[in-house]
Amino acid sequence: MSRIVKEYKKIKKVLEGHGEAFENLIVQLAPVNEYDLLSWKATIRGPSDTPYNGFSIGLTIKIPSDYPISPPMVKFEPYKMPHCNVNFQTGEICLDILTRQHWSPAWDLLHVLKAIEQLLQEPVPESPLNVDIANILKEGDRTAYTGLVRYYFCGGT
Amino acid sequence: MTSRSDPREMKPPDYDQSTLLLPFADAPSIVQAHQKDKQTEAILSVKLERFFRSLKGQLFTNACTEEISIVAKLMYFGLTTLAGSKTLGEEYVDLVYVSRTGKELVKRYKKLLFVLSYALGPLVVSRILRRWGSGSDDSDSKDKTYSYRRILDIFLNVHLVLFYFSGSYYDVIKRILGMRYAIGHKVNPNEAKFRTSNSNTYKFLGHILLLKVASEKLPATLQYLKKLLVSEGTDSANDMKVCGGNGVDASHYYIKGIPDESRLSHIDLSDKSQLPFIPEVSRTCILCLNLMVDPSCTPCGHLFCWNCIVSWCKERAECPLCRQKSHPQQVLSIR
Ligand SMILES: [Zn+2]
Ligand SMILES: [Zn+2]
Repeated sequence: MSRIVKEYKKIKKVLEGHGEAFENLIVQLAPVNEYDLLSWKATIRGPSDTPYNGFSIGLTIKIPSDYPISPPMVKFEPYKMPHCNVNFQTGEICLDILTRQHWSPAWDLLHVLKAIEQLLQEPVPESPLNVDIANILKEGDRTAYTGLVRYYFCGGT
Repeated sequence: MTSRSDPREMKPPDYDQSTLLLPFADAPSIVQAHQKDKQTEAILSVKLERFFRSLKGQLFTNACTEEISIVAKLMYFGLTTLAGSKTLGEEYVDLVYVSRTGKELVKRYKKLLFVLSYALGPLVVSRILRRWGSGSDDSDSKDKTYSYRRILDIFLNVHLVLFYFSGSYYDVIKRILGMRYAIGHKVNPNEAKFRTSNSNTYKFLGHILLLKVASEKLPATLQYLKKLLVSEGTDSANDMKVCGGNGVDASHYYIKGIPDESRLSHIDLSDKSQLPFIPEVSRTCILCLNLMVDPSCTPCGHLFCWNCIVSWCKERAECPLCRQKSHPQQVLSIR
């Protein structure tokens, strides 16, 4: 528990102090409730030069009780996320550093958000959770990819 | 079961210690009566279950076994003790209730209290303990429930030891309410001798149980109390807990033979005079983000708190920073 308390203090400092590398990425990263640091929500900016550019993307983070021995559980929520490594229905993310086999306790929530940003920049269609988008990417149809992402983000209109 | 207590016994003739209403019952007959009652209660419970099964079906019966056994207890003791007659067990060895001093009979309201608490008490206690236990995931409250259970356990054991020695109250509730058993007839010298020798066997049992309780519970309890006293003084904020986590400490705590945490000397890097050769920037543990306690290094040379790195290497035998192999037994504490 102590570790997440420390991390919270560090995150507050990082987000308040400007100029850090996270300013372009993180809109918000905070516990849902100050008294329960096991449940967090985050909002990140869609990275430029991706179809997500200009959109705010929501995430929920659950901290396991043996954190940082076990990795945090991160999902795209509450909005559906069109991405080839994200389950469109559940928001589940296929990202190796979030699995027990690849997680390192030396990482923190800021690292995790960085890794997610990288996943948005470099989708991995070889291990898809969203086959439709993976197929579009494999065909190299960039326009269709951008169009589809924008379609979902604008609520299908 | 139906024979009422003799009206002759209603008026205590004298308040002198030597002339009790009736002689107090001995431990063996009380246990015998108790066993008989338990047996009868179980039979009644099974019959009731069968009745409910035919009426409401198997599912209902399975869901309500606890309630059915309560009904059985209420019925059995309601119709015997509360109605003023003897239970089958009491009838079997001829026992009657008398007050704590043995000079009066037991009042009706006490019998009512006994029947209610006997039937409902266990359920209430277990519900309360469960609520405390599940109230939050906080390991502190689990600790607390655990300690209440422990205290309850010790209390029951002490109660049983007392019973074996004095042969007075076999049931805790009866001890609280002061419902003692007396023998329901005049005892001739031969019978008295026989009863005394039987009681002595029970005293022997009492000694054994006392030894067992003392050897099992006392060290752990003392240690626990000590911990309570110590932690009350220091642990004011949840921030206080050192890396390695509360859970690790607590579980260590109940294992016998492991020296008390507070007695081990720790190297705490928040103290600048400790290991001054470690530069300021390297004194923070990347795992707990605190200044290191008992700095320890992996084969690759990276530094962490002892508790932090060992608990990680048990999960996966590699350095969190560089992923080189590091088995828990390879971690070296720096002194
Ligand atoms: Zn540490
Ligand atoms: Zn290393």
